[in-house]
Amino acid sequence: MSNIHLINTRKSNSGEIDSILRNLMSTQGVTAAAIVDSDGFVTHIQRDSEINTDAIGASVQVVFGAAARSAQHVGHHSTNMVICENTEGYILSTPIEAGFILAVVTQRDALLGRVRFELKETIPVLKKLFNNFLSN
Amino acid sequence: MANIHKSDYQIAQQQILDGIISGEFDIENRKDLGPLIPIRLFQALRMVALGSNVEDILGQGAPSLVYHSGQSLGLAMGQLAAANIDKDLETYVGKIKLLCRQLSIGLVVPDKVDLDAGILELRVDECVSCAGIHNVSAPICHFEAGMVGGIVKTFFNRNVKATETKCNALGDKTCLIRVDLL
Repeated sequence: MSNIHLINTRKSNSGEIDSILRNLMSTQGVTAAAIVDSDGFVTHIQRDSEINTDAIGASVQVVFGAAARSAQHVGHHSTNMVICENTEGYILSTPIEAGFILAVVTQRDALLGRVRFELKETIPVLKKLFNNFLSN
Repeated sequence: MANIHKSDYQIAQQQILDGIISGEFDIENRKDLGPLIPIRLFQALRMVALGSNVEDILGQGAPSLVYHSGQSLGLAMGQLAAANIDKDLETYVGKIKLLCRQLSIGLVVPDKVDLDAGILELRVDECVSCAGIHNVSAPICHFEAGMVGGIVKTFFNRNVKATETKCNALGDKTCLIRVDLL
């Protein structure tokens, strides 16, 4: 029988998560920061302009999943970050917990190293928040 | 006029959705075999082509793709059902139930509608994807969850999150999809 626990981070820790995303948005060149759940649904987002959240959420999960699978095929084990370098900027995605992913969209002139640093600093904080939520 | 290029999959998708919308289920080039296929063939496409095969390539991204695919169908079905009903929820649900039965997707039954809380729960009895499948460890009907999400999204014109909370393949005897209006 089902023993499904809905993970609805919208109703818990929402303020803290939004605050973390806003903080990421203050990094130079970052235009959007979002949390995507395991179904590809955007649970939280901060952005400068309109984004099709349904499409970007599913795409982030698909790209991250494909990259992680590729890594496994060459024995690289777990994937810590996926970076898409595009003509107009970057999309970086990083796993949090329970299939949730933090995704950040930047302009082309963003300092990639700085954004990566901010993500690596942010992930432990998000992991702690999510772990607290999941254990309740 | 802008030349909008469509891929071959998009062209086929349009023809399939047009066929569904027309309500005409007869199909050309199937004179002897007719329009129906064994459910196991559908399940092979759903659980193998759009399931384990996709999972082999996309890993944890597979459910997102399947959900998104189902949502596309749900949006198309919703547009069909929403035509000429003056935003009446009961009529809309009735048309969706009929459409799901006609397409043999399943028997859709509203289980809970709490619009104040922004929660709807719909049962899909005799779900086409998981009928006859057992012993899975988690719900597997992401396509149907996405489809129901797309249907609800169309009616309310709001973002939704649909989650399968019970699944026949888990031994629940039905599939229950909870939709949160956001």
